[in-house]
Parts: sequence; structure tokens; C-alpha cells
Amino acid sequence: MLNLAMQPETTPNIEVRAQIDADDALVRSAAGGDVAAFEILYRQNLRRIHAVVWRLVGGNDARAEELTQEAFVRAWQALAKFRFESAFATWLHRLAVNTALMDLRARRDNEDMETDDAGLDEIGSGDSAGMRTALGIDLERAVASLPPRGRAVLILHDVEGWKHEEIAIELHMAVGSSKAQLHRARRLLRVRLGDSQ
Amino acid sequence: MTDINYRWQLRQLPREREPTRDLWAGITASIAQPQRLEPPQPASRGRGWRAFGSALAACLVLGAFGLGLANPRLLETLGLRHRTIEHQLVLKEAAAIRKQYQAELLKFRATPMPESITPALIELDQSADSIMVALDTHPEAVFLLDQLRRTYARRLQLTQHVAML
Repeated sequence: MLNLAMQPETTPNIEVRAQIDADDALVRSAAGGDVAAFEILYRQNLRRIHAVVWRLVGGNDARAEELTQEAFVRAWQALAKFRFESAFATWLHRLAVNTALMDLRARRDNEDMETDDAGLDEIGSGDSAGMRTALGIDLERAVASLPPRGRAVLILHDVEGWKHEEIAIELHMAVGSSKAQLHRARRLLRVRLGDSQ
Repeated sequence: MTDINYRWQLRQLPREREPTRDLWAGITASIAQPQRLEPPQPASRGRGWRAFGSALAACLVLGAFGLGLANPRLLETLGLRHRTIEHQLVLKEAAAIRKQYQAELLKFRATPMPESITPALIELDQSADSIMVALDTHPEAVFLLDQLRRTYARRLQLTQHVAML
């Protein structure tokens, strides 16, 4: 983040103005069928999108990559509907979250994923980049071990900063259910981190 | 460990992650299928948060001058006004971002800044202040944290550039 490429040939003001308009111009080009423009948007947003998808699916690399790819394909197909009412990155982020949640819902239809230990089999394979807590337990791993819906609510609320109203819409649940899921997920998280407080 | 400590740690989890393989090839294979492509809808009245963010970014260009990274009392002032845990977390994260960049920028403290670059540096500092204020007013607009990072990144980029001259 701190090692940005230098562009000494441009003046600061021009750089700033260019940055403000760059995303919009790329989106317009991509919406017109410019794959190269879309690739730039992809490269700019890939890691951010992949991080949230990866976390939502419990740290499963293969599944997260499949869904990240699907999210970008969906974004390409939906570019014509982008109305520039929000930042492109925000729109894309929501679309990716929706893609991951759709997958969670589809899987829930086929198996019981609501038991507290259901997510344990899907814990990441030790490649978690999460910070170590004071207790020496990987927070990222603990999050990944949560039941899918609770994990989704906790990630969207506590990591991504969404409101319960937004989460309820995306997860097709009542606001009260979102709050209850969050409470439960936090409690489980603390238990799994060895903190019964 | 307190609830707010847990939530602070959750907010600090990495926001970016690199896939283990390049996904672009698969994406191009999928989007290569013929499909209708319509031009995007024209911007409707206002542009919501985009316009808000752009207005903040415009501060980079239009702001007045005054050297220094930021008003050191700004964050404390903001901290006194928070109302919810979410609000605290956003401000705390903003403070962490500021602290991180200030630490980097301090490395260039002895580097003289030419007059030609000083206005831009001050504008960037003022823009960062504006974003901090906006975050305090709209703590739900977490995208402003990225805006803050970009602003400080630009500030650091220019400073590094001058140091390399």
C-alpha cells in the first residue's frame, strides 16, 4: 500500500483529476465491450473482492476463486445496469458478496449448515493471513470455523461495516435475525478463541 | 478480552487477498460469449455517495494552503463525539491509517519540500482532514476509509518523489 508507483511526469493536480475520472471512464469503456478496460478494473479490485469472498466461504481457496471469478463475470454482464450512483468498487463489492451468499444459500438447501460445528470442516488449510490474537489463536481461522450464516453476518457487520438492514436484505432474513445471528456468532467466536468471558 | 477489542481485531483483518492462481483467463473465456452490451445509464440526479466522495476528492484540488500533516487535535475532537461502537471502530481505524502514514512521512521530515510541490501536499492534508470529518458525520460510509488511504498514499507518493529528486 505504501509502495506506489511513481509518475513524476504528471503534475499533482492532473494526477488527482485523472484519478477521480479514471474509474468512470473505464466502466464506460468496459460497458461498451472494451475487455482491456474491464481487465484494468479487474486488476484494481481483484484482491479486495477475493478477500471478502474467501472469508465468506470459510477460507476455502478453490471455492473462493471460483466465486470470485463468477462475480467478475456477473459484473461484466451487469455493467450496463451500473448507474454511477455509487463508486464502481462499492457496486462490485456488493455484487461479489451477493454471489458468495447465493452459493451459501444453495449449499444450505442441500445440507444442514446451521449447526454450530458445521463449519469446522471448512476451516482454511492453515494459509490464513489473519492476525494472531493475544491468546495465540488465529482469529481468521476462528472466523472461518463459524456456521456459514453466522459467519456471513459477522463478516459483513464486524469486518466490512455493513448495517443490519443491509445484511438482512442480502441474506434474505429479518433484521432481528441478523442481530441474533451476530450475537450468536460473536459468542461462538469467543468460545473458539478460548475466551468464555 | 472486551467486545470492542474483538471487534477492533476483526476490523484489522486483511482487506485484500491474492488468489492462488490467475482468474483472468477463466473470466475472459466466460465473457467472450456473445452478449448484448448497452451503454451505461446516464448518471441520475446526483450521484449519491460517489458524488460525495468526488466532492471530497475535489478538496485535493481546491483546498487552501497550510503546511503540516493534519490538525493533531482533530482526532481527539472527533473521538469526543462518537456515539456507537461502530462509530468508535471507524474512527479508530481512521486514526490507525493516519498513524501509519505519519510514521512513513516522518522519515522524510528532513527532506526540504520545493515550493512547487508544497501546495499539493497541503491540499492533500486538508483533504485527509475533510475525510476524517466526513467519517465522523457518516461513520456508515466505510468506503471513506479507502478514500483516506488513497489520500495519504498520494501524499506519501509525492513526498517520496521529491526525496528521490
